[in-house]
Amino acid sequence: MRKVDRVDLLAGLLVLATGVYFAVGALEYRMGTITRMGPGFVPFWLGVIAALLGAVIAATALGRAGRLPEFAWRASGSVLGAILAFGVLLPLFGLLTAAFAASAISMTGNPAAGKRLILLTSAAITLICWTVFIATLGLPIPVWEMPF
Amino acid sequence: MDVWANIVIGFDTALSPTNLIYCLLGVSLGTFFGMLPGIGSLAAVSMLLPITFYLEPTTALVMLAGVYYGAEYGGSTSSILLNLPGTPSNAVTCLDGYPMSQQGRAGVALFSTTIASFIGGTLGVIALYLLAPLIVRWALAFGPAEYFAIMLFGLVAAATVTQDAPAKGLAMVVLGMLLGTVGADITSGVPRFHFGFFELRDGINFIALAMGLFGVSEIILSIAQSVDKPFIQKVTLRSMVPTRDEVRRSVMPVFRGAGIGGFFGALPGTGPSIATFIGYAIEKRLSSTPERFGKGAIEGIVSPESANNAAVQAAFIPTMTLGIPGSATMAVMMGALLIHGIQPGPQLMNQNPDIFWGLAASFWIGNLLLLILNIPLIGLWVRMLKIPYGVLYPAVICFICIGVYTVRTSTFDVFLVLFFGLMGYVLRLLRFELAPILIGFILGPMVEENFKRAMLIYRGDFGEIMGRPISGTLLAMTAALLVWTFWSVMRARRREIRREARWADD
Repeated sequence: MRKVDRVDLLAGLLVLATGVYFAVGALEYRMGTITRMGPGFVPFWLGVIAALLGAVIAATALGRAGRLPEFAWRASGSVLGAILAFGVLLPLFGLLTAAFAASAISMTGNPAAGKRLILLTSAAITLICWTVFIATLGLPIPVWEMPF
Repeated sequence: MDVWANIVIGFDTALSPTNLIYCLLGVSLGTFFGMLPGIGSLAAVSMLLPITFYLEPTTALVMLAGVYYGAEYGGSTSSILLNLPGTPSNAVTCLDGYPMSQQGRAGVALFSTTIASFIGGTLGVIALYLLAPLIVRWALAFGPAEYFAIMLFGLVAAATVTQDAPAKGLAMVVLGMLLGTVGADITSGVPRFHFGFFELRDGINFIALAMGLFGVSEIILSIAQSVDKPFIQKVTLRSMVPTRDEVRRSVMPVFRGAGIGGFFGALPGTGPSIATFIGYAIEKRLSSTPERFGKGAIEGIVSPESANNAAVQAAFIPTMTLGIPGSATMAVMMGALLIHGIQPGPQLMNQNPDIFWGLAASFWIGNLLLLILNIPLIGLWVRMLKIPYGVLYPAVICFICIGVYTVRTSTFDVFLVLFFGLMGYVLRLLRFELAPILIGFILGPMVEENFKRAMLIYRGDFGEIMGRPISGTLLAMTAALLVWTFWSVMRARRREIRREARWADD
């Protein structure tokens, strides 16, 4: 089998696809002329350049070996899940619930953290968030809401 | 003399009690976040930006700038004690800083990097005072053609200078520019690429982009690697005193580093990181005993740190005089200026001399405060390094979410952080550099606007842009940079293939 650097191959194809997506999308807008460019002109050519660069990156991947690194499911799942929870819970239940949930969910990404540590740390972080952002800075954030 | 008048105006503003307090707060928070591995100056500035919304513009910027250069001071502390760079531009300091710490000379290393940072920072501020008025006088005559050429040079430099894979760096710049096209077109007002989201018609919130790309992806990587912190030794004041020989060997590297930093900092597109690498390489080449480098040579830490802080201060020159941010962190700083209703550019210095010179003066005061914070109080910071990462990152995630939410009081932006966090993590796994995305994102719309205006003025004739002296020179430099980068990559690749072929023959 031929040697392929999978990292750069995937990287190149990803950039290529993004470029094509934007270039095709830009066709929806007016192109205009070189003197009076329409809204589609610059995104179209940027998309074309991106597609070309993507092709170059993918081409350089051929002929040398390389393995894809492992995707850290647990770490990324917990961190991204925490942000999702914050965004969903904040308008429904307010800052205290959202911050506590975000902190607790993100801590599940750390295999060494036990239940007690998670609960105590999250409570402390919620308190800190309230002290800094609500009590001290007075930011306009809903603190405690009940949707039902 | 003009310079003295500017210094007086500046210190008058910077020494007001409010500005002093926020400067102290900024540099302290900066040192703290800079010291934490995984939170660079960029994430620290964007995370703390919402806190400054309710402050006066000058005070807000004094504080944010303090966070920025404070983070660079703090970052060297974790490089030396933990072998983990606190910010990307402190990476070089690990090479000789950590060996010094293993030899029990952590105190000397911390002391000398702080002094080197202070000298570098001070010289950077002096460069800002002397060069900024000259550039402004010059820049008032700039038209869209010149702006277009400078920005193009900055974009190409950002993508190619520090990269081993320039095509990937350029791809990230273009990706950033594409993200920058999201939202209303400046000339026609047509909303582009809003994917059906009402919130995207104003464009992507750049704080959400920065926090997702840098903050979130860095946290994911750090947890996944679960780095064990090495033993941190105690640092006493007495252990910080360097020997006479160490002082003698450090003097020239500090000044050379400051010169290198000042040059690369002021150049758009290159920034502190590249300055530190070059500073280190030059000291190693000039040294009569290069074999000591990597084993705890004091020259190998003072030159990069001096370069780093000189570059950080000098980076404010293009941002404040031309409105062109030279690095990703400066892009965030410029975003902060815009949020506070200050338009950076040649007019800033004449229309708001108090803001311009006040900021410049506060930089030096901040450096002085950092000197005090980092030498007598070093023990306090070392103790803070012992906070385990496992309880720190949940707090950082909450701060990111709250900060991004407050910018526009919108949970949509929180979900954007989620999206860009995932994107940043995937791109990092694919060995892309992320900083060029942010530079492309901030400069992209400005490049587009100036390009359109230039083409309108010159009736679509690109030759006119190339024929003007300043823009023509810059375009030629950009082309030369591209050719040189690709030539050196091709050469390295050919050599690699030949070597592999030779192995295959054996």
